[in-house]
Amino acid sequence: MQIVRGGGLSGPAPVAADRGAARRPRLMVWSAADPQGEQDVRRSLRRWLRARGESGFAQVAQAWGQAEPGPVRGAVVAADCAEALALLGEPGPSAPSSRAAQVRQVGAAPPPVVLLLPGQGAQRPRMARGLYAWDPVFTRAADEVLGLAGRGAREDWLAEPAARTRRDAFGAERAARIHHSLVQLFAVDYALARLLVGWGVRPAALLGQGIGELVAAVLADVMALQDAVRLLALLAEEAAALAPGGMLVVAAGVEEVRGQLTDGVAVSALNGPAQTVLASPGHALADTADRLTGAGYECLPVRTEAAYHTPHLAEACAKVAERLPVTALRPPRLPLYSPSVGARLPVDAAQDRLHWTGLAATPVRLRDALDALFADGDWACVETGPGPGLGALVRRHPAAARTFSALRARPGSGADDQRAALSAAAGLWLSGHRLDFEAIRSTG
Amino acid sequence: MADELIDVAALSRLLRECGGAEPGGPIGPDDLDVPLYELGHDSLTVAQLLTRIGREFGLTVPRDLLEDADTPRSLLDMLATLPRVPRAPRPEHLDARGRRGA
Repeated sequence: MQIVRGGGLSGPAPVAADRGAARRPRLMVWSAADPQGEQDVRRSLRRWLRARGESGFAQVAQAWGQAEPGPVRGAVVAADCAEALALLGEPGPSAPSSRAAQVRQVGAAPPPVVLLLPGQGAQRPRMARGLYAWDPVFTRAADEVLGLAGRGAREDWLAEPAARTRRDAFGAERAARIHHSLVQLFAVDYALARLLVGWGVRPAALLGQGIGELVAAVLADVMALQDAVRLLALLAEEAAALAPGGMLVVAAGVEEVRGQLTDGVAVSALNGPAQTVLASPGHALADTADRLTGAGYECLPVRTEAAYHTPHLAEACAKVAERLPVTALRPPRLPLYSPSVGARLPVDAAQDRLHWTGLAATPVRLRDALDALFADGDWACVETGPGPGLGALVRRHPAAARTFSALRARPGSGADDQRAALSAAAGLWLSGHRLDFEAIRSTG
Repeated sequence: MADELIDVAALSRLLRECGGAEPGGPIGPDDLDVPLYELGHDSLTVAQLLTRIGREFGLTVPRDLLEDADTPRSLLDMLATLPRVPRAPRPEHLDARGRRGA
């Protein structure tokens, strides 16, 4: 279904008024033993919907996933009966491919799931807000993180944009803003991962970038949640004491960029052969940006407060290590693919507190971590955090096959957030994974 | 070049060329409503795309499009609304490549 927006250049689509539970997106799934059977099941679904209308839609959405899953699977995410009927039509050339019912033959063993947890630069106001008070597991997990963080982080996340902490504030307000941005991103990554686990997804590995790596540490039971949140609070305080910095993403490989760096500018992330992130405190980055643009490289500034993942954060990270109370670190219960070491994280590094306190000063070698991930096998990748940066980089990796995003890449309505989460679940179901449909139905 | 239309084929070529050694996949008519990030693009490769379009088609492309255009179709629709800006006539003392004549 195409969403038609008037005016073309009029800015983000207006947020539609919530028309109650009847318009809440639902996931419908079905399966059969073979393609002919799948067509029959889908035809009977359409007949049911046509005969019973909206009330039938709600019942079908509750009934069709119960059967023992067969190898030919179908899924659709729709908000009402009319949309479901339109999407359930025979697949044809005119059907928009992204939203029509998807049908797929499942292989013998589905590829294991790896969760991708995004870091700094991905956050935006009210991200994932539509999942709060919609999915109980997401809501509990987000409340847990933001409750531990305190200092108004939860209220700031839920507030309308105009009421949020001002971006240009200094002093104590700057410290609060940095703290909010760190813990809100952590909370969204963490709560989305918990939501998927609550829906029956069983991750076999985790790959977190920056703050996302700290989320992975908590999910893999290396670190207690409260220790990770305390680490972020200390990091926010130390980072707020630094001169403001900036980051710049450049459409070039690191070797092309290195020769163009002005004093004070450091490489912050090695994302791939066509994407490198630079960072510096103060205004040195502007000169480098001019130089790179002049040489024909596309550059975009990244929204951050400090020159993260460079030596400029080293002293701040050392102070965090001094101030952080001794925390118990356990061996990871899941493989962690770590961009900060550019490989699968060795157990001794996972149990070294300096690895975690130093994350913010360590360059992100995402490409190396992805190479290590895909060298170990095929994966169904799910981006559990604000996109699309990390997901897009993973999709561009030559070995990446299936990548799903559990959160909409652009700000939208709450229903859009719900649709994205359900669509990621649909993608996993179509890849052959089992889901807990009872838990998915308990949303709303 | 300035009169050439940006159609699906042209957009597909330009998208393929953005992202350097690791381009997003080519697109066909079936992909028009697939979000650009699902095609392997992000704000940086879309920025590259807008720069290329500006250069090749003589358009001024506002960077606000980065926020708004999330699918190939919405990108094409928005590009179609942009005013065509005629290129400045080349000064006579420069040759076709912009170098000073002898």
